[in-house]
Amino acid sequence: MRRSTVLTRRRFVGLLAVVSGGLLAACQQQPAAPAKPAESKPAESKPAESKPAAAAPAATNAPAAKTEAKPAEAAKPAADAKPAAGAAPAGTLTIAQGIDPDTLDPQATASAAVWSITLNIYDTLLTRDKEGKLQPGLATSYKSIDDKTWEIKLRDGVTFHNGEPFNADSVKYSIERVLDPATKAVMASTLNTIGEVQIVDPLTVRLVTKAPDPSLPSRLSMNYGHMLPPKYAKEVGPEGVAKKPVGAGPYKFVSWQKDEAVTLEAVPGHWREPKVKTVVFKPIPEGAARVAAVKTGAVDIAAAIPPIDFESIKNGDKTTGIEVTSNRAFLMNLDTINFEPFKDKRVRQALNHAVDVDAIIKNTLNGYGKRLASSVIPECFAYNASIKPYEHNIDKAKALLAEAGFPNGFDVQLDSTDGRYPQDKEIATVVAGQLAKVGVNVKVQTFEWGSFYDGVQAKKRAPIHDIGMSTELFDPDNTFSTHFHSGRGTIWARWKNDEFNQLADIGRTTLDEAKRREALMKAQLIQHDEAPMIFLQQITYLYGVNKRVKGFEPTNLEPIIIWSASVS
Amino acid sequence: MQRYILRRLIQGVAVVFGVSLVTFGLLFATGDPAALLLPLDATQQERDQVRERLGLNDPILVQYGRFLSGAVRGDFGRSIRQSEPALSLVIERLPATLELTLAAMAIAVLVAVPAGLIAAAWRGTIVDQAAMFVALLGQSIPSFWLGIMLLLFFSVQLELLPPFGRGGWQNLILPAVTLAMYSMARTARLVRSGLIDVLGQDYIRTARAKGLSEALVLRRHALRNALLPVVTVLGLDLAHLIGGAIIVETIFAWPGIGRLAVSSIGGRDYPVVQAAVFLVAVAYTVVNFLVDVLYAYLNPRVRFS
Repeated sequence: MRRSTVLTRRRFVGLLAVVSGGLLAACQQQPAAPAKPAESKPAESKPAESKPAAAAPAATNAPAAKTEAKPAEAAKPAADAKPAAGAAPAGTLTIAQGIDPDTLDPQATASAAVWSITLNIYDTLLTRDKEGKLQPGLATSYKSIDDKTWEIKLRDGVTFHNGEPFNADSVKYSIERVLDPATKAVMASTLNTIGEVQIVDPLTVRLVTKAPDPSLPSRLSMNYGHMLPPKYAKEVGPEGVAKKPVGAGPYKFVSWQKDEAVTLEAVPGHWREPKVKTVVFKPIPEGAARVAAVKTGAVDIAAAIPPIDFESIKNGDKTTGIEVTSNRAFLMNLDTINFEPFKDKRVRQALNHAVDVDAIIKNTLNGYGKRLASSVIPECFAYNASIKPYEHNIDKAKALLAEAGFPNGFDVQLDSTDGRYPQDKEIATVVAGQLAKVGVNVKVQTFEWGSFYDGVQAKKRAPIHDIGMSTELFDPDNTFSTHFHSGRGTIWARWKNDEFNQLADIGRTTLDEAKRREALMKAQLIQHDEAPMIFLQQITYLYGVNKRVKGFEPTNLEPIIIWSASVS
Repeated sequence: MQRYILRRLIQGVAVVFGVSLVTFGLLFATGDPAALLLPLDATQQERDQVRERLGLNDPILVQYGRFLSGAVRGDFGRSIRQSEPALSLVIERLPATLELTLAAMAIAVLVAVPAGLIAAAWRGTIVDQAAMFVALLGQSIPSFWLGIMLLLFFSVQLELLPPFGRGGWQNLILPAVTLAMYSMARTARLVRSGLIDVLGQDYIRTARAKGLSEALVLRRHALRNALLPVVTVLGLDLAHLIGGAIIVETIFAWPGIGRLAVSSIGGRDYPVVQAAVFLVAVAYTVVNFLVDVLYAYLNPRVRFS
């Protein structure tokens, strides 16, 4: 009973805010903004008509209009031309993730849990929408000047939370910070194709790459594209940045109690128009506890819901579920270099025929996953849709094994991660069971992620091991270069194919889009046929969301970006 | 008595020394901590630099000497992940773990003593059997399962208690009960058997013969004597609970040492893992020592055996 009164009061306040904000927006934006913005916010115009008297507190909205008035904004693509959103940011949104960040320095980590927080505090030069398309961020536009130079125009009138202006200096500093070994940027390779950052004028920079790098703009949208305020970062040093991040994003950092909560607050008048005033990230390691937390309303959004609990959350009284097909391909990597049977292509194909991926998705993942035909996800540039997954056919698998000289199968070990990817060790067990049906006896060993990864680096992992490869760039080059090209000294590559390498090289360094596309599509064909891995599925991320949350749109990247969400 | 204390003290030091070996060995048991700090495609040179910086290239004995001399001074190095002294990170979490542990201890005692008393007083009846069945159950249920069940029932179904985190007393109930269960069950059984033992003694017969009521006999004469071994066990349990909070803290997202240890293991943050394990082990040893001494003081027979 008490809860419902609180809710109505909240709703009432929310309504007031919406009404007043809507009125203000209507007054101020009418001349500048045509019909479009009104369309996109139909809900707000209604109460505004019916309750004109509520306009009094609208003054708080004044700063919201300020950035919008800047001339630079007018020239932006449609996404940016929206007027101030109706209401001032209001309410508190609580998000549960599996782990607490170990640092809040976005450039010194590879943890999606950290980026869930920092991507709201900082802004990247470019960003991606729900469909994975590149959108302007702190950069409003980019173009290629020549083979090795990208010119980037920066958003005008942006300041960091400490008042420092965002400009070309900040870009130069932030990118060079990633490349500086002292930063210990775990994934510096996302930007280390950049040789030099040139400042053209305060709002224009040029990135000169060491070799042609067609996917550089994509990389700028990634997590190492976070823009830091140079003066502050130098003043407080790496430890200061790790503890008290200052960015130019829609939310500013308030506090961090380790293993308890990270609290952020909306920046008034930010061009991203954050709608929630306070955002709290809570680490809840146990999956069942995250489920309980979102079901009881103790948190509003819970990430990484176990597939088995998702139905009950989707159909809950207070909750709904959101499923997002991720950019991560889940595969079983095969050692084709050292393990005798896997040197024969027919054996590798046989394994692909022997594993029933559809059954795995249906039974082990409750249907949350999409079957893949190669390592490349359909959202990628140059995805080759003509390739069909291996048919599940035990007779064919047995025939191929016999042909390759293993009529009675063989023994092999499978190393699996434990808890790193949805149902990873369960899937490993099922795969082992299915391979046993064609005579391949698999011994499964599971590892906590840290020691698993050590083994990978030391190239000591068993002839079969699982891997979830993310494709942040939505470009096959992303994984071809780090995982499959045998010549680049990568730790995951356990397969050598000269033709594939050549095609991947073309994909890496060619600016001509048609040529790239052709090479990358052909490379997928070779990869599928050569089968240096057992192709499984594209991982689905599952979120539990309280019904009072509106507009939460998780992307197919793991980090949670919250600026579009509101709470009622 | 002094000789006994000295002997136990030396034993305690030996245990701590052994713990230091094991704690140090953790570093080498699971691979290369330099690995997680490096990019996927780091070169061998970068790898070597990191190893050099972390002192991983020195001979093992040198590394152990460095670890031990640091540990004695309370210096476990800086956290690899959080760039803060490892020990202070652990000590920061100590209050949360103590709060949980003491609450669990209180619940265990408050439930176990009356339960044991009732079971002993009604020995052999259905009441006794029921109480001991519950106690047996409590001792055999894994706390992981119990925690999740309590969470699902009291938080999700009834919506009575918050499912996670540290805050008001409501937050404390579920994790404390989960943590208390084993100790509670064990103590109840111990109180019961201690009481039954004492109730057979001559002085109890004397007390009854004096015409004291059964309640008074139980409370004043029997319980006091029966509680002596219980105190010892509770002392040990306290140390055990501090270490055992790991699972419970993980389930209920309780920000204590256990959580810190688990997340540090996940992040390969060895200095923190070492500091946490070392601290818990030392606490265990110290409590053990104090309990032994106290017990020897209360019961002179122990000293000479």
